[in-house]
Amino acid sequence: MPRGLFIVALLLGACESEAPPTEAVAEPGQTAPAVVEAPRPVRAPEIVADAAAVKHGQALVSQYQCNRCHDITGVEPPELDYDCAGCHQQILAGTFEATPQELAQWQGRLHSLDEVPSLTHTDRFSRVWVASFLPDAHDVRPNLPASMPRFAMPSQDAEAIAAFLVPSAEATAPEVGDPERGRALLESEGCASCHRMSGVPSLAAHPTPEPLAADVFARGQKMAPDLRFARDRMRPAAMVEWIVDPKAVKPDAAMPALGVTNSEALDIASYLLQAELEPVPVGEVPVLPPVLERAVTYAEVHERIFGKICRHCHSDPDVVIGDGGPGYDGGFGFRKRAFDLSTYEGLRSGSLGDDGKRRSVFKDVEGQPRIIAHLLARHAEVAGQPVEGVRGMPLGLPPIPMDDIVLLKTWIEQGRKKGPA
Amino acid sequence: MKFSGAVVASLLVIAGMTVPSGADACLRMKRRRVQKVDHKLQDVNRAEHLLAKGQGPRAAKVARKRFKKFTAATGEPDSGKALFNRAQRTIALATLRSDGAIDLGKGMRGKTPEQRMGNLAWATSILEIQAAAEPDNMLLRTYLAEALMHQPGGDAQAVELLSQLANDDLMPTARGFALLAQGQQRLGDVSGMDLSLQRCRELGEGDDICTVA
Repeated sequence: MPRGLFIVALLLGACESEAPPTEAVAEPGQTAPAVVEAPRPVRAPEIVADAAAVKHGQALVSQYQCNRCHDITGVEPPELDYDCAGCHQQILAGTFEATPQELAQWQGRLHSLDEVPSLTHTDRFSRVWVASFLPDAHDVRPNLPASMPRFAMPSQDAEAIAAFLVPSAEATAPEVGDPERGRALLESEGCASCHRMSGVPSLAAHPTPEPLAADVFARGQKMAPDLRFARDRMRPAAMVEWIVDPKAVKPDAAMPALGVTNSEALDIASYLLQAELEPVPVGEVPVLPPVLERAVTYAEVHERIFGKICRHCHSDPDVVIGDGGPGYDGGFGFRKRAFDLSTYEGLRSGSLGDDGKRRSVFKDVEGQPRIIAHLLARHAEVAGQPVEGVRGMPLGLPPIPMDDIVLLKTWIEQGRKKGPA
Repeated sequence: MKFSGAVVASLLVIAGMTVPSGADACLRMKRRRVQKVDHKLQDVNRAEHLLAKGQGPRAAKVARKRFKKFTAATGEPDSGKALFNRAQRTIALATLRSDGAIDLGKGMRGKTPEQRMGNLAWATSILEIQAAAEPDNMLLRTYLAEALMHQPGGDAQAVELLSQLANDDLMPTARGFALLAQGQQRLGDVSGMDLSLQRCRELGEGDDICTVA
C-alpha cells in the first residue's frame, strides 16, 4: 500500500475499518518475516477525554487502591501499611522496621513487587486498551513475577480510570515505515536481549550496540513487555517517540535510549504494529498430584503457604494490628471477605460469600475444596484458561507451586488438624 | 559541695566513655530503629498465649498491666482499640474460666460469691459487646457462647450458636466443639455430645481439651 494512502487510512479510519491483508513475499533464500503490508484494524485517533470521566477516574484509582503497587501522577502514595510495593522495596533495602533476622528471612523469600511500573506519563497508552485491560488483565511482562491482578471491575469504571490515565488527545499517527527493516533493527539493536515478541518467529537476541550497565540491563530485562501487545497498548505516535528516547517520554522508564533514529523508530514501530501474529497459545494447566502418604501438620502448611504468601492480603486487622489487606477488609474492587489466613482459627472461620454470609473454605467448588480450587485457578489463569466464577489466588502473583498445593490438600484430607499447641 | 570536683570529673569520664562518635550514634539510631519493640503488643500476645496454656490468672495479670481502664466497655478510642479489645477479651475469658474467682481490682476481687457473680456478669457483657461489634468473627461467637454458658439458662442459646458453626463447618477451635459438647450434655443430648467430642479430638489439639465436666 502506498505510504500516503496508509496515512490517509489512519487519519480517516473509522472505529473499526479493516483493510484486506496482503501476503508477505519472501525473497529467495530468505525466511519470510510474516509481515502483512496492510494495516491491522485502524481505530479513530482518540480525542480528549471527558473531564467528568477524568475526575471520576481519579477517585476510582484511589478506590481500587491502585497506589498500593503503582506510583501514579496525581495520586498520593498510601501509608506504608497499605503500600505493598513500598514495603517490599524497604525490606529489600534493609530499611524496613524489623529485626535483622526477620529482614534476612523476608529478603530470602521476596521475589515480587521490587519493581512495579509507575503510572506516570501514561498518555502514551491507548485509552481503549487501558479500558479493556483493567477488567480482564493478563500478563504483559513475562519476566516480572507479579502481574496486574484480575480485578472485579465493571467496564464503566475501567473506562473512567482509562480517561484519568490517558486524558489527552492522540497525536497524529506517524508515517508508516518499513516493517521488514524494523524487524531487522529489533534484532540488530539488541531489543530481544530484553524483550520477547510472542506470536512471530523468534527474534535473534543480539547484544545492544553499546553495552549497558549491569543494573540497567537487569532492570530492562525484568520490566520489558512482550512486544506483541505493543500495538494495542500504545498510541502509534507515542510508540515512535518511545523507541527513540524512552526517558524523554517517561523519565523513570527502564528502557534506555539505544541511539535509534526517528526513521529507524518508524520502521520498528511499523513492524510492531503490522507483523502478523500467531494467536496467543493456550498453555497447559498442570495436574494436581495425588495427596501425600505422610502426615502433614498445620505448622508446615502455614510456613509454606499461608504465612509466606496469603496472609499479606488476608489477615485479621486485630491480630496484625494494622491493615488486614484487600482479602480481609475489601479492596481492589472486591467486597469485604473477612478471610483471615494469619491464624488457624481464621482459616477455619471461612470467608464471607457474595451473599454476605460466612462459608467454609473447605466445601467443594469445581470438585475441590474451595481454597484449593482458587489456588488451582491461578495456574489455569497463567495458562490462559481462567476459570469462570473462581478467581485465581494469589491475586496477580505467580501460582503456588503444585507441591505446596498438594501439601495443603493432604492436610485438609487428613482432618485439618491444628496439632498440639 | 565537698566532692563536686570529683563528681564532675567522674561524670565527664563516664560521658566520655558513653557518648559515641557521630558514626556510632548513627549506627545506634539505626539499630534502635530496627529493634523497636511494641511492648503493649508483646504483652497482649503473651497474655493470649498464657490463656491458651490454661494460665488464666497470669494471663489476666499481664493483660491488665498495659490497660488500666480495661473494665470500660467502650475501649480506647485511639488506634490502640484493637489491642485493647484483645487484652480485654483475654481478661474476660480468664474470668469465665476461673468462674469469676479472679482479682480484677477494686470491687472486683473475685473473693465472695457476689464478687464472682459480678465478675462473670462483667465478662459476659464484654464478650457480648465485642461479638455484637464484629458479627462476622466466628471466634468471638464461640467466646460469646462460652459466656452464655456461665449464665443461668444460657445453655440453649450457646448450643444454638455453636451448633450453627459446627453444621456450617465454621467452628474455629477445638475448644468450640468441647463447649458444644458440654452444652449438649447439659441439655441431655448425649449422642450430640459424643459427636462434638469426636470432632474436637479430630483437630488434634490434645484430648485434655476435649472433655466435659
